[in-house]
Amino acid sequence: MNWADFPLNLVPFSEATPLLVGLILGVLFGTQYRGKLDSKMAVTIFLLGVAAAVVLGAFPYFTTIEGGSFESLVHGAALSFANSYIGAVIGLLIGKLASRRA
Amino acid sequence: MATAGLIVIALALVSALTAVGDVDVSVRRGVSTGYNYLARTLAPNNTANWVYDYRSFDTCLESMIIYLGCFVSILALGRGIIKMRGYRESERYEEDTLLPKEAEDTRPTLILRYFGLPAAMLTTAYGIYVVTGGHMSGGGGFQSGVIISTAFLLACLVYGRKENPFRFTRRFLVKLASIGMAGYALLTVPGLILTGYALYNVGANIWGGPYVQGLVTAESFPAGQDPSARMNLYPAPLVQTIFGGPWVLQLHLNEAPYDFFITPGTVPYINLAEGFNVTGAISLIILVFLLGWREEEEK
Repeated sequence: MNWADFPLNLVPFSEATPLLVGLILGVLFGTQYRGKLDSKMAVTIFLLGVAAAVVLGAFPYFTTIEGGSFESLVHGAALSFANSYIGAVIGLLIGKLASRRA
Repeated sequence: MATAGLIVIALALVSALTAVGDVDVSVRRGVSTGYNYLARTLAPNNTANWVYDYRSFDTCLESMIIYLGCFVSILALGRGIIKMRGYRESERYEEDTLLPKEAEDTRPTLILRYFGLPAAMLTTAYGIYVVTGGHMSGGGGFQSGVIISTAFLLACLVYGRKENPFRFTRRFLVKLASIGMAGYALLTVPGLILTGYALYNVGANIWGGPYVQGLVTAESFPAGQDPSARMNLYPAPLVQTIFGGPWVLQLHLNEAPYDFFITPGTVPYINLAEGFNVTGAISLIILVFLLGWREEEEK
């Protein structure tokens, strides 16, 4: 069975859905933060988020890069990351910066 | 806003009453006969959406009960506090005189000041992560809401009211919880229209079987047949695209000679609605119980 057999052929993008949803929700909750957030703190939060995403790993059966898995690049690779977690962290930072400028 | 709320409530009532009216004594146990048929033959060791169907709806109703209980409690406590403040002001009572003087000088330590914000933001991100994967791994809307509320509680404990990095207001939290509840109510409609049963998980297919467009029977899954070959038995591209397409997952199972394409249907959307509802409800409890209820906060 090919990707094209799925109705409207959304399969290639479906593993990116948690990333997009995490980004949107992150922006939503990021706008609810106030106070100062300097660049060092933002970089620290991002790096901690990346580390946490690697610890959490990709969701089960996710096989593509946008899904957080490197399996398609390196067969049998154990390294993966939680794409929605990174999306949420980036969204939170974007929402926080956007609310500060508003 | 109020009109939209009334429309949503009316839709939910019609859905619920219609569903109750359709129930007869011959209803089989479980969400669907297709689920029961497959559950006896396939049970991989992961949380799958057909298992989730058995418990997510129950959890959604529990979160609604929490929200309603919290709302009623806050109405009672909030009005009580407002009355007390009015009484105190009329008696020329100054609240500050009762506060211990040392409490005004209490500030978080250096570690807490610099650790609190990243911890709150990363915890919020974890709550979002949990809600996006609730249909295929551990998690869900209720857990997500509790985790995000925990981040708010952490910020409240570290920073207090004035320096709290969260600016959750009562109005925002009530809107968040109401949107979640309205979303859950609206998700009853597709199932009602397509199958006659409110909250039926339309758009889902079970381990590559036919999409749950209508009520399938055990005869729809003849033994020995490749279920993926029957994917389009009940074509409804719009429904599948809306409820199944964005979340479809390709499963590579060692036990199966072919890949499955599985969709959770409405479960991710129910998770999102439930997450909003629980976040709003529990954060509202924390906001009022910990920080109090003050009218000027909304201004």
